[in-house]
Amino acid sequence: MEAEHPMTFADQVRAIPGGEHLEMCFSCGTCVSKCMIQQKLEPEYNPRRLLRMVMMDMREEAFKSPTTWLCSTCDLCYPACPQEIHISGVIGAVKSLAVEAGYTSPLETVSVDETLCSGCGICVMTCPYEAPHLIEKEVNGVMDRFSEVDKDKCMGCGMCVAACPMGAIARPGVSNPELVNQIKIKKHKDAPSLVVFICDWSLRADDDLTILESYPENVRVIHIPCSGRIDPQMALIALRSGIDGVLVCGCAPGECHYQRGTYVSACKISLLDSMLGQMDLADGRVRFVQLGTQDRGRIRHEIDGMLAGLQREAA
Amino acid sequence: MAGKPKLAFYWAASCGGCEITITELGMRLIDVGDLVDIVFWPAAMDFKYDDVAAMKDKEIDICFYNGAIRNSENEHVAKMLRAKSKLLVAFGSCSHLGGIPGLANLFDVETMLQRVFDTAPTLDESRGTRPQMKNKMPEGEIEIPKLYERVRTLAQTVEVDYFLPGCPPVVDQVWNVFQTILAGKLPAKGSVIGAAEKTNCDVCTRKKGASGMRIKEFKRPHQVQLDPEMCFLTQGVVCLGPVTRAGCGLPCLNGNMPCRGCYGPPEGVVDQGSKLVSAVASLVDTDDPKVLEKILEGIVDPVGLGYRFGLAASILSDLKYGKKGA
Amino acid sequence: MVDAARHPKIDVRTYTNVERVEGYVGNFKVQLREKARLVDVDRCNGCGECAKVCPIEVPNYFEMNLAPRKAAYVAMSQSVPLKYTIDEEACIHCYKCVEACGPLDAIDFSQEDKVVWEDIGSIVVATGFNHFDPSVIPEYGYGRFPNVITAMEMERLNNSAGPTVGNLIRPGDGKNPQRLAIINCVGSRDKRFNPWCSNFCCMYAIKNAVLLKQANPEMEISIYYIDIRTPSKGYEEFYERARGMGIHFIQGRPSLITQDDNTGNLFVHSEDVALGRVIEKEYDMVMLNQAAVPQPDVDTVSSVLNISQSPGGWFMEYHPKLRPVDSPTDGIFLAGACQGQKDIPASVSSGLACASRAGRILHSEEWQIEPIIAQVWEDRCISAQGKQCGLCAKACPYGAITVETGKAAQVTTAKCHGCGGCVAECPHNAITQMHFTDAQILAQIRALLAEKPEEKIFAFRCQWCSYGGADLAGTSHFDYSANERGIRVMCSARMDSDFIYEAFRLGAGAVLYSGCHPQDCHYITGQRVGATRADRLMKAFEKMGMSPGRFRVEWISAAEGDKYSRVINEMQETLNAIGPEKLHEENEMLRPEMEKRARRMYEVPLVTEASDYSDEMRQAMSDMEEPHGS
Repeated sequence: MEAEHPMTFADQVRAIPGGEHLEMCFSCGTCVSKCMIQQKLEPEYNPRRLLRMVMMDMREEAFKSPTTWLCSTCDLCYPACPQEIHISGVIGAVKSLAVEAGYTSPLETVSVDETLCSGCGICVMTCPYEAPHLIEKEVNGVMDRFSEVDKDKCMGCGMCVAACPMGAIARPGVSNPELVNQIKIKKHKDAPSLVVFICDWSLRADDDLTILESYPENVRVIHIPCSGRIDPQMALIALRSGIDGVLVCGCAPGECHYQRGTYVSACKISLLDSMLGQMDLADGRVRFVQLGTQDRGRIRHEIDGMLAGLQREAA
Repeated sequence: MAGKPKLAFYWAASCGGCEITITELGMRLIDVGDLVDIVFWPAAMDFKYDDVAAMKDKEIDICFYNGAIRNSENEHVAKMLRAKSKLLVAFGSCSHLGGIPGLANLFDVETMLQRVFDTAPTLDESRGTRPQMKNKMPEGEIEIPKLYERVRTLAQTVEVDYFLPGCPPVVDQVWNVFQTILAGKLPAKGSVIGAAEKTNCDVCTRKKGASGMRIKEFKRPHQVQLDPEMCFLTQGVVCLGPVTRAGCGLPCLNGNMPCRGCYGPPEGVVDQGSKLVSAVASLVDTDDPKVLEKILEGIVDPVGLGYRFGLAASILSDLKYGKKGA
Repeated sequence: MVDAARHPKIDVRTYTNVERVEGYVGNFKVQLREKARLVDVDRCNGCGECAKVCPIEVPNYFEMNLAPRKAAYVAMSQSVPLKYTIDEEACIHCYKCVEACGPLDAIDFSQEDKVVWEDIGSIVVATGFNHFDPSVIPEYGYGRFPNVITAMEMERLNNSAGPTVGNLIRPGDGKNPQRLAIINCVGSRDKRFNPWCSNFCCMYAIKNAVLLKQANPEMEISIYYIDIRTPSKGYEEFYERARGMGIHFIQGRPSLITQDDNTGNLFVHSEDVALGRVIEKEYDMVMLNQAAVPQPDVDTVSSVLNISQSPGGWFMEYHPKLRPVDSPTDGIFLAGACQGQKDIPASVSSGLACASRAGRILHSEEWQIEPIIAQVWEDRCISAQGKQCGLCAKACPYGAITVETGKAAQVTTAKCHGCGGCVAECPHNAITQMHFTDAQILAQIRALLAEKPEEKIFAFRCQWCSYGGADLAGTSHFDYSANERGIRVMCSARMDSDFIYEAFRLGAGAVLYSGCHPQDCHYITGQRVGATRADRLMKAFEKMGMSPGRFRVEWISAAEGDKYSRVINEMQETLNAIGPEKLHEENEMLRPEMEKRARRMYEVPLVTEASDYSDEMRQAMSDMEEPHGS
């Protein structure tokens, strides 16, 4: 009945869908450099090493490794892997074993304010990670429906924060009031003012961040975890406050760090743009651009182009 | 309050449905009549503006004003009633958010006049004839009210004490509000009354969407056999329930039609339409920009959908008319 | 090459295509198309005056399109023979070349393609390889970033006879690069494109790096690699030398190259595996060491020569270790990289081997082949009776059978390799295979199923794969059911439907139909013939109501001893599950149909005797057992 040899860690990972191709890795490092987490977030992040840890039966180390928890399954590495290993599948397999073993995610995750939540389920439908789900519970003697977030699944992209019609979901750092508070610009007489909502993952090179920092006060850069966090209401509030333009930057199609954020934001801005068009207001004051990993330096062209356009519009 | 409280009703740019709601109070109207004095109600009884003008300031205890501010007359009466009333209640969607007349903010006045008087198909030979702003009548020269470029809400014109939403407000809610007012249990000024704080989804019993249920195609209600058990969004039909204040009792949803948003945005939401876009766009499911474009074509008239009742109150209208003021 | 061209017994035909090959070893007839070069080769002295006056310039393929050539051209200055060609597609017919050629009068615009037939004893294929086009890997930006170049482009840019006379410049702006990244395994060891290691690129990268470093010691050169492979004599020492020269070796396969649009400089993003850190380094130029891939026209060549391809498109050798330069067709040999990625020493070795193999044929009066050839009984062949058939010719992987209605099918003995596909396919049993006759095989079946047939698992194994697999299972001591009884035929193509019917008619419990994996077939397409037949049988048995699993088809290589034992054990489990009673019942039910289907075989000469023989043998066996028993 009981197996003669207990399953090794590698066997367990292999048995989970996604974990099958574990042993094909020849440590070329493509996945590590394709991924931006090591550069942007966590120097210890390294999928190749996690695969090794699994193969070498280093269970505890693997469960504690940031790689297990930080992978957002963007699958940028998968099409680049010469061995066609579904790396995020392997990491997912390790993560599910880690959760089973009682480890929890160290990530900053979202939380739901139940006094606001209407239980509409939009966050459940939009989440790429199946983190939120609806629960029923009694409040003051009445059964009511709320959304509850599985902290171990949430990657903190903030897509649900933007989607929630009630503003019931918040993530420290990128909740609605925190972002609205940042939309403040000292107006210059001659220069148009621009708010840039930039997805932190869409700029690969450090040079590009330097470019962003080089703009004077009339360009306000607001960092968001994913362009899917952008809320059209926020863009309208910015415009009403007298700001001339809103530029939203996300990742190129297929490169979104949170799988679908860039499509969601494309959809939002496209709808917002057609609404502005219906009101005879579509003059390029709201734009969405998708920056690819190879678009080094493009951010400068986009911002300069937009400023020039707004200048023309004002004239 | 000395004696019976004095009530006024007024009907500006609206369809009159709100007035009908009052009459739908039915037998309860008799109770109202016993408890209050109706001092001004042009739709039901013969009153003249001069009668109101003759009143002292704050003589009216409560004024229920329905309809948007479309022309100079609406504005004039709104200002007058504001002065004469202790409490001014924006009654119904039009005065609350601009309502259906607010959709006129999509066009300029001249375009509309052209459509109505010049190009609309008609059997009447009067095509091309425009009303004269001034007319000589036996009683003397009369002037018709001037149409404004921007349709505004009551609150954008005068200070409003309370908002009672709905197109029209639901009878039971109106009755509740009457009782609340008479009992003197009103909430803080500026509140929405006769409605809840959360959204329609809070009270809707349809089965909600599960993980990964996303929209691959937007459909309009007439294009699809609607499942009465399921959330409309899971069926690809845009429902304004998630961005609309609860309180109506869901007559549309019970009739298997999606919510159209007449109760306005819930507490905390500034702009109903853009919030709808944020919610609905989050559900679109594709990774192909071309398909995405095709999916979005399914939303034929985003402004009309998201701001059917709220365009006049929206940031979009503020942006459009912002520089010109009104 | 020049020596070869001068040799009185070597006839070099350039600008010529091989269009058809007929015949067989020692007796090939080859159709050649000598393409019209619009120049009379006998008159042209290679002076190049025509090219000097030609006004048309087109990209020069030899220079990797980095330089132009004229419409009147030779591929390169060392071309053999040094005869000019006029590129008719580019030519505008200004006839300036005719004027320049003057009294030599070598240019002839009326020339047309010439089709000639030649008698050839032996053919050596040396069509070489092609390089992988890296523009299909978008992350490296080849084709978009001008300073990302391929190894072949580097070869021309750094060649003193190249378009820059050896002055290495960046194509983007003509500056001399000071920082160079070389990226290995571009399109090789990459399952998305080519799974193989291209064999020579590591050495090639090191060679280029060393050459450049020697010319310019200041230059900063980094080689990005997954593994450095230096398996041949002197290679590791060369690698050592390169490290000693200060060439950077970075273990890590770059995932991305980005470009600074202002400077044209490139940033290579990779992990430094030794550090475990992502690094982004700036370079002036990047060289992609692209994979070696088969030529684009391998399919045409393999169909003209009737040689098969290994997975990926390389030409297939007869045996990877023991006959590495022979093709499966006698008299055709594979030299160099057309058979697989090879570096220069290996290509030269295989070329020399081919020469020696071909020489054997040219010097022989007679040629020995295996005696297991097919033979036609002319009186039974329906083609001889004027009926349309030709199934045998269709089954033959070597084109050894010719069928002409009105005449009996003819086997070209020298072309026959003895797979037996035609024998099994012939519906009239008009062909037999020497040493594998129906009678012989039938006798084996009968002998092996003489006792308790319903307990037996009868296995048909092919000589090259599944027989070897069974053998390996035995020598490796993999346990499998003792009820297995197997016989050997040359190829699964020989496994006649009649044999299977007969086995079941005799009451066999289960039958295994096994052979090579399709890509391993020793007889080019023999396995395909067998597999098609097996499919048909499987469907027929299903229809007849046979329990699933009693007839099993498996492709087992000679290295898969474990698979062979597993399959047999699984079949035993199937038999156990069915149980003897049900099996017996089912056999009774199936027997009339099997008998009907196998009946035609009894018309085959000697088959009846074979069955009688089996009784005799049974007697003999029981006679033999007695003394042992007592």
